[in-house]
Amino acid sequence: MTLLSLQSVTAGYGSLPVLKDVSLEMEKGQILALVGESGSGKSTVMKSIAGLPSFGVSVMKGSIRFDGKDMIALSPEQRRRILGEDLCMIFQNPTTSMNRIRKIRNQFLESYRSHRNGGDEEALQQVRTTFQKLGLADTDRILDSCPFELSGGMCQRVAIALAMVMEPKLLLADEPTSALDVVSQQQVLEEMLLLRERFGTSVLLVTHNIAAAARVADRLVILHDGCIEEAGAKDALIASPQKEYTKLLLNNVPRLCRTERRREKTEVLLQVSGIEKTYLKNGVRVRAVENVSLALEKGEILGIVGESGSGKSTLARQILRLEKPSRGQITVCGKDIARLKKKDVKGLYQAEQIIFQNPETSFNPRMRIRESIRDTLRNLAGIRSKPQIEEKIDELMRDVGLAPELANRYPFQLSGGQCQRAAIARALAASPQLLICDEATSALDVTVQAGIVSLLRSLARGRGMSMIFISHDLALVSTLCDRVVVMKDGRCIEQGTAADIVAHPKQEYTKLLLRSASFR
Amino acid sequence: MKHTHSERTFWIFLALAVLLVLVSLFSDQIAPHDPNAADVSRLRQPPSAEYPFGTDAMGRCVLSRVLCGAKTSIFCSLFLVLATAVFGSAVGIACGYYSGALDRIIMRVIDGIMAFPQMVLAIAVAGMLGGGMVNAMLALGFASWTPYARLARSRVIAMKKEEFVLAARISGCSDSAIMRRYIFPNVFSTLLTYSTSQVGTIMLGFAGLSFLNLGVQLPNAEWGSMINEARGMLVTAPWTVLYPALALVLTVMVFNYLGDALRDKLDVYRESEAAE
Amino acid sequence: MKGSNLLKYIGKRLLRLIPILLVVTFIAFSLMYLASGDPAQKKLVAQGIVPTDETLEQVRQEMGLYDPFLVRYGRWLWNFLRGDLGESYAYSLPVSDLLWSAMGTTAKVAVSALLLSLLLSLPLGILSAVRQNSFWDILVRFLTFLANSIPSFLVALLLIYVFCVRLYWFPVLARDSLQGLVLPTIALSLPVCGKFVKQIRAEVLEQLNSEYVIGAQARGVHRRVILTRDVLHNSMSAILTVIGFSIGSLFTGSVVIESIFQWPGVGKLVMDAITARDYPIIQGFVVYIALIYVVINLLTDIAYRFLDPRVTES
Repeated sequence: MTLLSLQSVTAGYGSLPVLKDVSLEMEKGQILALVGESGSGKSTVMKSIAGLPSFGVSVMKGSIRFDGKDMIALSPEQRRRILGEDLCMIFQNPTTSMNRIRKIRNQFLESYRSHRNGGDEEALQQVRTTFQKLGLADTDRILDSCPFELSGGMCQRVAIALAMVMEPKLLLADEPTSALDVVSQQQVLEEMLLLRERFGTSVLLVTHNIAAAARVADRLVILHDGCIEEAGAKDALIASPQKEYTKLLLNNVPRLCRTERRREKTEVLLQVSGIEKTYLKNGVRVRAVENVSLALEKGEILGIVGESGSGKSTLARQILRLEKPSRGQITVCGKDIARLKKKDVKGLYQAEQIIFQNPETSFNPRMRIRESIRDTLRNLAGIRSKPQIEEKIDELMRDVGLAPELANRYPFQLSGGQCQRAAIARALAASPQLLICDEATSALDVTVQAGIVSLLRSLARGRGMSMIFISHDLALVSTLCDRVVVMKDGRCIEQGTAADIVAHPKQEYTKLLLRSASFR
Repeated sequence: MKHTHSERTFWIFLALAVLLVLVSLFSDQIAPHDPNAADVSRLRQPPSAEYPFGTDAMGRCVLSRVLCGAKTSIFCSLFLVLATAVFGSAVGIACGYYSGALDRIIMRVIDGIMAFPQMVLAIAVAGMLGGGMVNAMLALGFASWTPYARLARSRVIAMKKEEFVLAARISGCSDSAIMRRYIFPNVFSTLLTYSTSQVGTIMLGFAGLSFLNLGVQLPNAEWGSMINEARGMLVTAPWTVLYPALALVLTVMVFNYLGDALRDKLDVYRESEAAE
Repeated sequence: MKGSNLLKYIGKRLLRLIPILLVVTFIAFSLMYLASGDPAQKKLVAQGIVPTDETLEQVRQEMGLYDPFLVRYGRWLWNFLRGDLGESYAYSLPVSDLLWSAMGTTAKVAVSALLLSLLLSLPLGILSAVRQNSFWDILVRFLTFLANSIPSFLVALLLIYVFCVRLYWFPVLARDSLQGLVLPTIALSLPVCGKFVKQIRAEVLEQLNSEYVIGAQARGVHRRVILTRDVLHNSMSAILTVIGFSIGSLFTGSVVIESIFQWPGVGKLVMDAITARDYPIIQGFVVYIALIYVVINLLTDIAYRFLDPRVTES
């Protein structure tokens, strides 16, 4: 039976259409994943179904029918009755989609009373049963807390469970796992499978993460530029994609790489020994990095894998002397960086450079790209003559695959991928021996990411440059790096060659990372 | 749509503000009469063709005095806002960038100054120093430079953690280059917005001090003191109060609107609120 | 909210008061230095005595004017801590007694003005945020703007003109009577109202545009419930801070308003002192006001933490 059907829907913001002629059918009890890159319009699909005025989405053409009702023709009151009752939504950021400073109990009861006439005790009893069915313990403690007191993952699971109390027919989930750590991601995905099993609820999962979609969905719909590129049963679509774009998308998803790469031993460039970083938070000493030691040879690519909060970025900043370690020593080219005199710091930055996660914020918004690169060239490459500098900038831009004219633009006038390439050009301007990439591709789409990664690979190999590639994605790291360090809670829990880690993980946590990284 | 609307508002009020500044600049030329020339033969005359705003208790031309007052009010306010903004921001930027012990001491002093309500402190300082425009400016300046320092400092501290500032450090830029080229241009709009929004406040402050006889000394004209002088004649010669009051309120409104429009244009609303 | 956290916070804030008070008292004491001339002479003149070299010398000795600056500051601070702010030149009475007795009269106007402002601005601010860009919103915004651009002395004069001169509803100078309270209260509260409405509107708007409101809408919660429970609850803490800060404009306003309406409060006392060059009163006045201001801001901060449990967490 058809639960939801979109027929040639054209929708967008203001008069600008984002979705063009999208048609979609969903059966009862089905889990359908809507997959696309940023700007594909995947969230707009969800927003046009829910039709809340605050979303600002207007449907210009076509029809949306849910459960036999025309969703476009609904009055606000009719829509309110459906939302939260038959049609529930969960969002990317669970802690902000609820009022962070009010008890979950009160917020739940308010939505319950908006739909049912039952008493509070009856409602809470239903919550307890639902939580039990979904494997959540401690119902009353959770109900008595405010969202800000729960972790993001917990909050998302609670949000889903509270939505299920109303036994909706359809759950719209907008990037529900993107803001969560790996463990919570797995739990939320499992919860989705469970709620279909226990409640028969259909799920429309909107995500950019193909691996996550492939784990839970029955059907996949690939969205590109506001149009449906390809749709089909999950296994068939992944095994034999028909359209070029789908193939590209699937090919660009990093895959665990098991091939052993042989390297000759070279001299040590970077030595980190016994680094610790503690800071005070609410009068409590928190350890961000705990006794980390590692070494990097010339020309080697080292991957550091870990989630947010694992201390990997803190480590990177310490290597760059942007933060002081509380204990331990870091030597670059044999020099202890803590003992560098002010005038020698330049030498350090001639040896090492960094690429940040967010390309746009890593450039001064009020300076053209050219000016930023010029600073590096003038300060670190020691080039003084103006024509030589300009020539070098053009050359660097070409090296990273950008037209030299783009250097005359401001950072916000470039796409994320272009901007990240420009950031690489700026780092290369110092001709460093070591390039640190701190989640350098995480903010980018898979297809863009693939381009950047292959650029980095060829740059490192071509220039004999060492690289530290920091990422949360073990699959991506395994395709690029010679050696991998796994970090968790500030500690280095496992290290080895990339092939070794993929083939023979020793720690449970590494295994979990591997599981979440593989989608076939 | 909305964007262009706020843009247009901004230019309209900027033009009005510039017009006001020009009027005050050339008030001597525009004024039909000598603002200080008393004439017992025409006391408290209602507005007429020769004296469009009438005459006051000493037979002086109200229009000329309002124009002359514009020079005092607008110029002193703009100058004071500029001076306090430059001084406060410089202190704040340096404190935020270098932090350390001196920063902590300066911030405690600023906390102390801000423990006084701005105008209360200004009234007290002016009261101790005695009246006069210079003293009034010192009093208001002493009380009003602190928010700039706090605002600039908090912005700089936030800015220091931005990736592009870190990137500048890694590019080998010197401290002064980072402050000048990376940090300052990015805190400037916030500071500019806040300063613009302060022009009206300072103007009201001057008027208040003058009204309390702590600002401009007689016989020089200033809107606040003109209103004070004329307040006894509300019934007999309402125009002597009405015109300086209108001039004051309209000018303050223009500058307040300009501040709001600039804030909308630069969209730094939240940051400038944080200073207060 | 854990009680121990709150206590810790209060303790921390009280500790932070110490340097603030040091600076405050230092500024207040230094004000005397700003005043040009010889304090001994001023004291004598204020008392109507013609100063001679002998009497001057005697008074200087009495006042300890020959001691070094810091010694005099230390002595003054010590006296201040014991509640002694010196003697008024003009009245020959302890400054703290004069200020305290006037404070009550000022409080009458200030508190009623604060109440009136809240009464007016809360509904107006919320209304104009909820009905953003409606006719009411535009009207309220314009009135707010006007109120923020009119000095309180002008409001006072207009009120006198309309209600005393034209309508004869109230006496102009009503010295500390209930009937005389009305006009000063209105004059004092209008500019404060302007500030309140602006901030309340901004805060409520910000809350209305936050994600949790969309979240609640997506759960089908009635709009009325979202407004009364979520939005108002979350705005309250910020509104409270605004109120704390606006106390400053109440004090400022009271100086001007009291001298216009001849209301015998602190404001009038200090204006008279300025005219009479009675410096100890001015000095005592700023210290008192700063103290009250600091304490009120401390209280609102504590209340803020109490309402918004997150703040102590981070």
